[in-house]
Amino acid sequence: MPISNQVAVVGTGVTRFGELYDRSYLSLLHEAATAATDDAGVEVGALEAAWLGTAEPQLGALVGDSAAAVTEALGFAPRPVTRVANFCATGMEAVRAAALAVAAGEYEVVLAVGAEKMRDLAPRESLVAKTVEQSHPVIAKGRTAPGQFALVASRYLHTYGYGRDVLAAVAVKNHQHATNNPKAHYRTPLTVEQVLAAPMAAEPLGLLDCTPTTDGAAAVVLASRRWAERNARQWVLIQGIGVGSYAGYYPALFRRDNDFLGFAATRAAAASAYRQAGITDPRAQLDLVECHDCFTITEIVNTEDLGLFAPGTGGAELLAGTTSLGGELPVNVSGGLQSCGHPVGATGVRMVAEVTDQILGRAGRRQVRGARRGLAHNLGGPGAVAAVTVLGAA
Amino acid sequence: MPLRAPLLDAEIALPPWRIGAGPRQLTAADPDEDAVTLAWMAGRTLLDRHADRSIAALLFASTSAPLTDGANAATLVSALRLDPRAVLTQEFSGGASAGGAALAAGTALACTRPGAVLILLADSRASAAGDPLGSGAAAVLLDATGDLALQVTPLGPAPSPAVAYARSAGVVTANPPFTRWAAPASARIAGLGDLGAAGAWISLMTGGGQADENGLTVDSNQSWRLTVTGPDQALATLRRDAPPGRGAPPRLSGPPPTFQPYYSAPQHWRDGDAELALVGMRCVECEAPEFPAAPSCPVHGPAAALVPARLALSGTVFARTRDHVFPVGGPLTMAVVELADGARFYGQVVPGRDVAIGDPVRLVLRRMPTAAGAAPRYFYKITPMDGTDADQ
Repeated sequence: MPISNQVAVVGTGVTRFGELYDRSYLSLLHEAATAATDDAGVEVGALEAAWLGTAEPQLGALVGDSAAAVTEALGFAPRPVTRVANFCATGMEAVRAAALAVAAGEYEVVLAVGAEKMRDLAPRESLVAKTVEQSHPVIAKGRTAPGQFALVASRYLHTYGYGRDVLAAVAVKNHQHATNNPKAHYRTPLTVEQVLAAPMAAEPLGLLDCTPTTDGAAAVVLASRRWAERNARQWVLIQGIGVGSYAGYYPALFRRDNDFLGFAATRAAAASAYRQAGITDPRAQLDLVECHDCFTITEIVNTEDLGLFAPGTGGAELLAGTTSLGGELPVNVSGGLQSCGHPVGATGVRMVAEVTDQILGRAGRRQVRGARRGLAHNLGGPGAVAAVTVLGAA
Repeated sequence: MPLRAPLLDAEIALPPWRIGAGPRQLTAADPDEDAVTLAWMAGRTLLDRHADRSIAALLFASTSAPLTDGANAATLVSALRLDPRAVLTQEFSGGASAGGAALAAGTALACTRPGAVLILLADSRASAAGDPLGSGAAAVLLDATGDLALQVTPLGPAPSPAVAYARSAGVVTANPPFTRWAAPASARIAGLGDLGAAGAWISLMTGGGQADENGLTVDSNQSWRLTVTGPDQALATLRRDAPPGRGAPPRLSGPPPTFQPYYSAPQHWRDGDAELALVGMRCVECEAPEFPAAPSCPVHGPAAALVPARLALSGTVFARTRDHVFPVGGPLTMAVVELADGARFYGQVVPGRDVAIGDPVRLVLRRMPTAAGAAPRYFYKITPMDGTDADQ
């Protein structure tokens, strides 16, 4: 059965994001999942199956290497549990796997949870060590996460004639948004001057162009539309959920059709989700967007890849305030990865939870007024994969 | 008895950095270079002029080779895109007379079997205290079609230096001192330094030997006399000025002691040749190669016919960043290059140089960081075409 409008998000739960030295991976997973079931008004025992998104279990002594971590954290035995991983799109991939199982008619109510414990190690022992040491011995040696996206930034600024200030504007906007999000890692507003004066990470990206290294978990309870209509307190419908892929981890930066001005995987995922949701003019038909912004440039090019703005104009729209809270199409009113942080497996789930809460009108001081339909976008690897979810009011 | 063989062409490679000034000036290599990468540079430049030549043998001489088990010549065969199953290899090491020995052996080989003989002479030497002594390489191509002739004449046995021992405060010292390089030391070339196994040939090509009606002559470490004869016009093609230097070499922060990059012996055995030769794939339906090779064409799918393809080693910069996060040898400049054949390359820019979008660049073989004590690993880095970048 086509998935559109058949699966409902009936509960959301998000932990505080940050350097949570006092919290274990399992306790974060437990908190997010039970917050989501409490929100949905169901017992954990009523869930029929669970999908776990954790991208980097080696950062947490391999506890999240299998969804058996869900069994451990929630007393879930003997029910089925499955871990999924798809680079930084891992979280939304868990939502998609759970939604597909419900749409298939196999289950009525299931859990999708993403969790990542990144700060049990120092940042340089975390994902940096993975790309530095565990990657191929010679091919692309020297790559880092900021270094990869810096190549896109260099190409974008070179091609369209922007300066670093357009990148800084993303950080300023999202940090301002995060002052209204009590769960964000960073809640302090920034100025353009502060962003531009930060130490350089990978030119032209400075430290404040980068997402921090963060612990956190997020969960959603998904149910069939029929179950939601009978049992749910409030819910939103998944109108479309798509994944797109472009290239493997190494070839992505060697491909001769890579223009380094955006991500083909985002365009593919968006096309799939828009087709399911019947969206033909996303700028007019969406009320808000949660967009992957691991680095400031990532948000700018992805707003173009999502079809919100024409190529090269994402920067101008940002500077004009189009994507600020109160603007025509707010992007990352949660604060995005820039301010929430990016506990990899949790991020995509957090985005779906944010858009759900916005449509349900319970987003507090960051509420987008009248939000009826929103989009969440999650990017993985150097543009290797991407996931897009369109959510709408029931 | 002199050995004599036809000489087709020769080349030298001197790194761009200089230490000191005047006759005491030394050539200095980048911190990610060694005798193998210097030999590659000389060999690559030489073979680019003779692309259609079949190479039957590669002889490599160095007193500062990174490995002592013979893998250096095999690395050079792959990285120079020769056929590892068809090329005879031999290495000469130990004393500085290794260079003359390689030329003597190569000359003998060229006289006794068909096919071109490539002789690579390279050194990047340092004193026992770690002070650089000079770096450089030469490549010599012996082939029956050559207009020139190389004659290698053995000289009398090298005089054994009388060693005087002295004892002072309990320490015994010898004069002349024993060194790892063995006596007699290679001659020092004014302005370039002590270039070891490559010294005699670099001297011959840069005007350091004797030039008269008998041709060009230079003595190699009191062991062999090298004489090149032939028409004046052909002889003139061998002579060149040593390029001017660019100042002191950049310093590269070494790997932290904890650096333990992924290593797999089967992976190295399986993929090492394609990495060294920079072989990607070409889909017969596509206009340009892709790298790294994969079992499927990204555009035409798994049914497409794929053939191995050597990537072009020059192109223009497409995107560039200077990365302050990568902890080994950083900050590193990383760039994406649009190669002349339409393929793309993504990797490091060599230390001490920089590039901008649109700059013409080429790819050169360099050492990649490995764990402390591990065997060297080589791959390609990006360097500006000479004279196109600004010093950092």
